[in-house]
Amino acid sequence: MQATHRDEAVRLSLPASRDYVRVVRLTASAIATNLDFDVDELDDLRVGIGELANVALEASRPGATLEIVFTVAGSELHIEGTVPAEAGRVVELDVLTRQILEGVVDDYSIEIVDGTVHFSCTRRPW
Amino acid sequence: MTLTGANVNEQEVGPDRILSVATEHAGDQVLLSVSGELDMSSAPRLGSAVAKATALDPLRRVVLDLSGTEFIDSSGLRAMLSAREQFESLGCEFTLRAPSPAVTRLLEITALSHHFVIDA
Repeated sequence: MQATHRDEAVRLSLPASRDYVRVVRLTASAIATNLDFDVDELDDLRVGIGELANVALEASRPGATLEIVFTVAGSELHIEGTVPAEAGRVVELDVLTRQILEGVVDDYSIEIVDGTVHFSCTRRPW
Repeated sequence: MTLTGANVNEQEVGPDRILSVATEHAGDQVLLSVSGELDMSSAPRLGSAVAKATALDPLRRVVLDLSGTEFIDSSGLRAMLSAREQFESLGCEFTLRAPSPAVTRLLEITALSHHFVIDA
């Protein structure tokens, strides 16, 4: 993990494994702690990025690497991730996951483009 | 629910110790206590504990203590829903006890609170 203070971006590269989603959540929480997020907002952020990472990993190619960039813009945290997709996979958000995402982050997206899963979310303090 | 004369029969703990599920069984009642982070990686451990509990006979009442659940996501919720379905199909009472703020938050967002009997 490397941080470039000039553009306030933190980049994370890790194995595309469900065992590492916790690292993604912890990193998001650690970065957001420096913003004006209260405890509940931090919890929401962890849930939101965790859900997106879970869906991305379900569609990922075995042995792939998950790349995530956390970008701070003012008081807003924007997270973008990519991971190579397994051939023929599609990204599907079930009702439960969609409900959760809509309740915990301000906006989100996830799709497969040219064989790569792309996902993102943004969270602003209330 | 207080189990008198209960033994902590089993505890499911992953190698990373992120989640533990302790099972206490006394008579026809079972207490499952979940501590830690219930996510996609650890939810199978709850599933395993539930599967073992469903094999107990007699089984009349099951309580899922969530006071120590520090984190939960949709995988954890699905594991809870599955547990409820399995136990109720056996004619057992299934109750959530003391859900943590994280669990309460997710139940509220998904409007799933009414799917469970909750003992705060």
